[in-house]
Amino acid sequence: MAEPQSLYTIPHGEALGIVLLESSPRSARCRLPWRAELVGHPAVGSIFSGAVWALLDQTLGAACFEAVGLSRAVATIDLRVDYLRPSRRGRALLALGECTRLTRQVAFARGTVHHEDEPEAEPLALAQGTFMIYERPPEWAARRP
Amino acid sequence: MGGAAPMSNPAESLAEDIAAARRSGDPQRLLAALPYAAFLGAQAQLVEGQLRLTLPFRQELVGNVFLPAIHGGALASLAELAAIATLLWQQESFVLPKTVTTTVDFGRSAGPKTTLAQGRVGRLGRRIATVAVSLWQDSAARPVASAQTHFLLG
Repeated sequence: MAEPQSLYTIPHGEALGIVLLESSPRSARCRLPWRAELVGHPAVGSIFSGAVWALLDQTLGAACFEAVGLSRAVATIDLRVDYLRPSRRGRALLALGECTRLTRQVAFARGTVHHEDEPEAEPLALAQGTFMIYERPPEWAARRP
Repeated sequence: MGGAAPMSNPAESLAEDIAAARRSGDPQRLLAALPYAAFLGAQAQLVEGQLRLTLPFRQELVGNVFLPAIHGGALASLAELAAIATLLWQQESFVLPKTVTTTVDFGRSAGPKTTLAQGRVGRLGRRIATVAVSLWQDSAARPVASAQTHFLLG
């Protein structure tokens, strides 16, 4: 596994509590701990769907970022997330993203979200997205934390 | 509805919140039913009779620190909140709609400034509602993203 921390900080990911656990050349795994602030449905305690969307966007983006190499970066073109069932109160989420196909300008990716303690169960959410590949400006590397 | 139902029932208090917000004419009160709106920092207002969500820029919304650009997930969340608030405001539902699927297309990167979101209810059945949401910053004619959202009602 490559150095798991992403090259730059992602403030909104940090605000949510998303942590990149590991990444390999074409995949990434991120964790989102449960927090009362993130709840979408107070009666159920499930994490808001948009936070799950953000988790998948960031995980699929990280997988594509790993796939394109250090000189390039990616930006989301479009992403679809299907919410199969609500998450449960108090349970951390794990997202797995995979870059399924890499072309010169576009990376294709898929991903899933599970409860951390139920990795073998049916996923809570599915994602499919495309990411634009672009040359990473050199000054970005210079400002790398 | 049985008259002796306890007031602590979350579904009932939600329906009351929605009805009260509607009576008051203040859509911001609707966001009390959507706690994630407070986490994100979204506000609701009526513009020419249409419900609109506003997301003032904050550093915590950034996804790319170099551009800088707002995180796609923050924009998707704003879109979903706008869609849900629109459905609740129009009183199409007194229960919180459940998100089934959300697709966001990004047009241009969203810079460090206020983002606006407005939903348009498309298909509205007894069980499924479809809301298209447009997100923009400087001009509604130049959206930064558009979202297709589908919800289960009840």
